[in-house]
Amino acid sequence: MNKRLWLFLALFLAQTTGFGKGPPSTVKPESVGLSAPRLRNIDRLIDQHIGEKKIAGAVVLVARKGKIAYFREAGLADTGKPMQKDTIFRVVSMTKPLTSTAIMLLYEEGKLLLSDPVSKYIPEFKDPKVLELQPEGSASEYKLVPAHREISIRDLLTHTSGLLYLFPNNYYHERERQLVVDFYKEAGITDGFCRPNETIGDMVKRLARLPLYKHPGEVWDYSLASDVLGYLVEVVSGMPFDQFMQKRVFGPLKMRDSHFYIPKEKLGRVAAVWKSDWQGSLNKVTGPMIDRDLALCPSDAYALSGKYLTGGGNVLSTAYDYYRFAQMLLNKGELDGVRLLSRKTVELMTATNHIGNFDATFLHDHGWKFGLGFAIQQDRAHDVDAGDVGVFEWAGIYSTRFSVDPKEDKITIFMSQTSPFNLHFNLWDKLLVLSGSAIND
Amino acid sequence: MDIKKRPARLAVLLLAIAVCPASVWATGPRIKQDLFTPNANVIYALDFPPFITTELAGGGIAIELVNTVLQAEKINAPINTLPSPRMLAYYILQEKALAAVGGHLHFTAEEQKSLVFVPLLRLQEHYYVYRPKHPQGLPWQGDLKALATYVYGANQKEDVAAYQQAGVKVETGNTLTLLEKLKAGQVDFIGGPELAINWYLDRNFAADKDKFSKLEPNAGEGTLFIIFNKKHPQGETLAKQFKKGLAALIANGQYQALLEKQLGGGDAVSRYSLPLQ
Repeated sequence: MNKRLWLFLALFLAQTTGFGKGPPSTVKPESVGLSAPRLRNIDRLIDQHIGEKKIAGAVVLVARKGKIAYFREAGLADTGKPMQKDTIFRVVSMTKPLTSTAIMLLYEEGKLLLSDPVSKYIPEFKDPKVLELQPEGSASEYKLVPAHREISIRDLLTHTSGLLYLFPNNYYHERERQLVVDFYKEAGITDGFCRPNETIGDMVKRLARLPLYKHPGEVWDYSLASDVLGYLVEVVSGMPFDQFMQKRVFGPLKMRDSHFYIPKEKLGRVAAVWKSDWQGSLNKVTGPMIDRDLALCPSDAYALSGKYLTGGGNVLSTAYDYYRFAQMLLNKGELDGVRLLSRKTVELMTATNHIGNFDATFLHDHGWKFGLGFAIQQDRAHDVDAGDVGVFEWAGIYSTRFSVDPKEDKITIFMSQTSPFNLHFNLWDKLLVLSGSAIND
Repeated sequence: MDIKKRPARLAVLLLAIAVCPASVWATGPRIKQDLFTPNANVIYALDFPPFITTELAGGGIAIELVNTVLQAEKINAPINTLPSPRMLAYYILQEKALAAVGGHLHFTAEEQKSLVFVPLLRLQEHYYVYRPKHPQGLPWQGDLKALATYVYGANQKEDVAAYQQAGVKVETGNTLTLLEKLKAGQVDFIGGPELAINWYLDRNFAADKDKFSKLEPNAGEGTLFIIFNKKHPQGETLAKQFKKGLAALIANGQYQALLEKQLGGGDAVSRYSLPLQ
């Protein structure tokens, strides 16, 4: 074969797969203090879940000391389509740490302070009101009282703003939450998992004028805060959020398969979403999934373009791309000679406790706190244990996960597309046990 | 300074420490509640673009009209535009706010007794259909009974009694979601002033704006009001003052000029203007 043909083939492969130079190389696990036989327990765990039709397929990546030691795909990405290492997943809420990073880039440039009131940039947030229930028998069931203080950018990063998501209303049955969610619905606010036909700014400017669930700084509640942060990036940088992310995060980190809207040539690489009862009933999802206040539209991921750019859940990515992002954080801001964030900023983002006496129990347990974009393990005295104090993690609603263990210099990534979300917790906890127990130095 | 030798300076220093509150000396929170200055005369408006919207510099034509009258009458009343009808109802009925501004507002007969309705703009309403679903339009000739087999998309809090009496099924939502439902075939027709519908079509459905069709004849007329609250200590007085100011604005041609500036020339002004005598 002549040189031109080789060149053509190389370019063709670069276009049709996510890996311009072929799949990223892995190292012998022993060279980074991991046991190969022990890592193979992960094969068994994943294959068993696929065999039992709990999940259709998955990609798992374990890295240590800056090298990938385990990278395996298994099962199906879609009907009749095997999972590939470069399969593209809806990472949904794993967008949030990316958005936090964008904010911290602006913070490092002196363009904003974390203590700034959000209203400094988005005036609709000025003069916030909090919904407070009144004693039974009062003329009004609730009052809208002035907030003790305005929402700060730091409140948005730590989910202490008093804003809400709608979908937790399915699980937490409190009257205040219900009333605030009713206001959200009336004003056309959604969680954004079904992408609305408007801009993120349109949504945020309505959200800002609605009552808060609690006073800023006096609650930890997972919320639309990251969506607000995404719009804040637009306001402060003057760039559409997707363009900012491409230029400042995806580009420098060579996250070549991370997008807000999928390019046409990559459509075939997007995994299907599967509804699983975790007991053998596994069906591909083709339409919207609506369960009371949770609305999911997996097929929105096939849209080639759109207006809605949400910092809370828009991004499509691969296990390898997300690994590159996680490795940058583990390296305290640098990857392959590119410094994205300073060491001091990453230390701030991953400081063990930003939320005082509150616990980030939403995905984890007591003993877990929240940094500037992810949950952080603060102690080992509780049931959900990721292997070390200081481990930071987050997840996406279609059962995607990442975990960074700074003490052991280890990253674990799990990508699947399985709904409902909460049923994969057991698998994830076991996967972290297996990646941790493979440490052999 | 050597404070032992300067007792007077020491006394001043100690006095300053005693007089200044502790918060002056401490590192306090950067964001304080006293940033907010409550005003007893707040007017609450409901999003209704382009008539009422924070997206336009003057707040929309209705807000410009209100502010022009308030200024002329030297009434100090800030306007706070809300995205939720329920919030507006809360402020006017529970908090006894001075006034509300909006179209498509619905108050019960009992509630209306404590409210003073002052018309600001006329709202000529039309029905809209999505042509790919209804290429021939709908059999609308002015009688709702002819639409009994169809589904109407109503605004939240809209009075839908006439539709229900005619046997028309009703789904509710805000204008944007209703347009989405119209496009998705979940409702067959929606209603609204042409300016309001076009606002959303231009911003959110630009690619297929032409597929949404306006039905003739028009669907009736509504009114955009400023509604004063008799339960507010100054509600009735300021309502009278506002009416007088608005009448003066109409009489001196400023009302017409404002509408022309915002809506352009042609018949748009006559479709939204109050009678000018």
